[in-house]
Amino acid sequence: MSTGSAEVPLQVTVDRGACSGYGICADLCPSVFKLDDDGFAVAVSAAPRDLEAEVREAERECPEEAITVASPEG
Amino acid sequence: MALAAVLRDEQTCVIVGAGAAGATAALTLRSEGFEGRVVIVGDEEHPPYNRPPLSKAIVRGELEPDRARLRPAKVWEQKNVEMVLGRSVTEVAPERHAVRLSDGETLRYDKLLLATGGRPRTLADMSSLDRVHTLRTLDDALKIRELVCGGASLAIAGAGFIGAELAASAVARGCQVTVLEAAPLPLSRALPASLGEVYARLHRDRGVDLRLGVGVARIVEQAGSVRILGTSGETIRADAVVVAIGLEPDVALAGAAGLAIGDGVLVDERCRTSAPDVYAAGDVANHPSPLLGRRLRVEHWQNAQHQAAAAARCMLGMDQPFAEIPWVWSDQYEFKLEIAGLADPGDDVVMRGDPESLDFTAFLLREGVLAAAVGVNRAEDVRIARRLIANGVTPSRNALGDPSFDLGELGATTLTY
Repeated sequence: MSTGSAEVPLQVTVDRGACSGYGICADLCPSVFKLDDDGFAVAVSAAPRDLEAEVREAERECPEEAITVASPEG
Repeated sequence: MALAAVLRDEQTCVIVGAGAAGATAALTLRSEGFEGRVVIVGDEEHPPYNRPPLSKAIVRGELEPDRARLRPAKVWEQKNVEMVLGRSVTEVAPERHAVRLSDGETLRYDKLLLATGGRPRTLADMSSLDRVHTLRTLDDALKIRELVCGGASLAIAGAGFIGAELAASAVARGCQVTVLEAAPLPLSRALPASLGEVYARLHRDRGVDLRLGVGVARIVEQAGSVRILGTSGETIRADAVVVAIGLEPDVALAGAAGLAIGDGVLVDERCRTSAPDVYAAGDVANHPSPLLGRRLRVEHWQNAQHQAAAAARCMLGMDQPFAEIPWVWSDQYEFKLEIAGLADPGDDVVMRGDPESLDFTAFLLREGVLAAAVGVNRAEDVRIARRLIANGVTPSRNALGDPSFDLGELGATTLTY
């Protein structure tokens, strides 16, 4: 798990080339992941630390491994 | 047409089929605020899972079956979706608003969604052969995983997406793979020949023994292996055979209930069947596309998901005709092949990028109008093309073929209805 500072948000990215629109991330963590008009995921660039569990679950559950969560050092 | 009455929270939605369409419909009913009973009936024992990884990460042994689930188990509990698994629906009685289950139980519904999908086409007499498989379910994939991960030699009948993805997966695990395709080129009923040739070369370069114009005349099992007699007289030996020659929509329930069926269950733009309060979506639904002006039955993931979401909204009384340009992807080796729109072998092809290096988008024009796009590792091009196809643009060939030209500008400058 993360060792980053509690104040520094998580950097969340979705590889738009890999996303196939399963929508799992948007179900698990709707405040960070949205689906665009075509049904593909977009992430806000950063996620607050208190959503780390949800964001990590979305990363794990993505069948296309399209989600990357980075934990910048504070 | 009159809209459905708004579904009330003491009412029940029953969904027949636990695949992408059925599961997405259930999630949509909840996300749109429906608080009544939602029941999914699935004939497999497994909770809803994603089929796309079956021919890829699952058969390669890189993804455990529980990672293929469509949603984590807790999501179904949180959203209060009831799962009736390992039982099938044996009868739909539209006049009584009821379905009968294989154990005799009867479920009443106020709205019913048929998301029964389809069954793989088979060859005559293959059911008695232990070494001949089809690939549709998770259990099928787990059997094939043992073969692929055990390094078996594999013969695959059919070079469509399932056959080709399986071939790529098996080659990646070091299997010797022969693919038999009855047509002269892969995907020849859908794509122009120049693209079928790219597809054939891709597999041959990776070591697949691709036999074109060769159908299966007979399969014989003997002494721990299988012999396929090809329609051109050759014999192919393999440890096992996978038959991947397409899908038959599962219309049995609908047909027995007297619903209008054709190629699939006939629905209107709002996914309504010919019976009141009965809807259909996904692989089984034959739907009139308002964008393409013709009926379509699409056997792809995005269609199952989005059409079922639209059907669920219509079941709730919302006015949401389903109107999307079909889009499909297929992962083979390190390539992501995508097709937007409805391609036709007779389309004009304009290449953007280099097909030799497998980094290109092919734009398919029909009487000058953009009808489809086929991309290899070009997700963004295909997404833009999908919007252009929906808008019915007649783009300039030079612009399409010029990699420095911004495709996004085409929609604004050449929109014609």
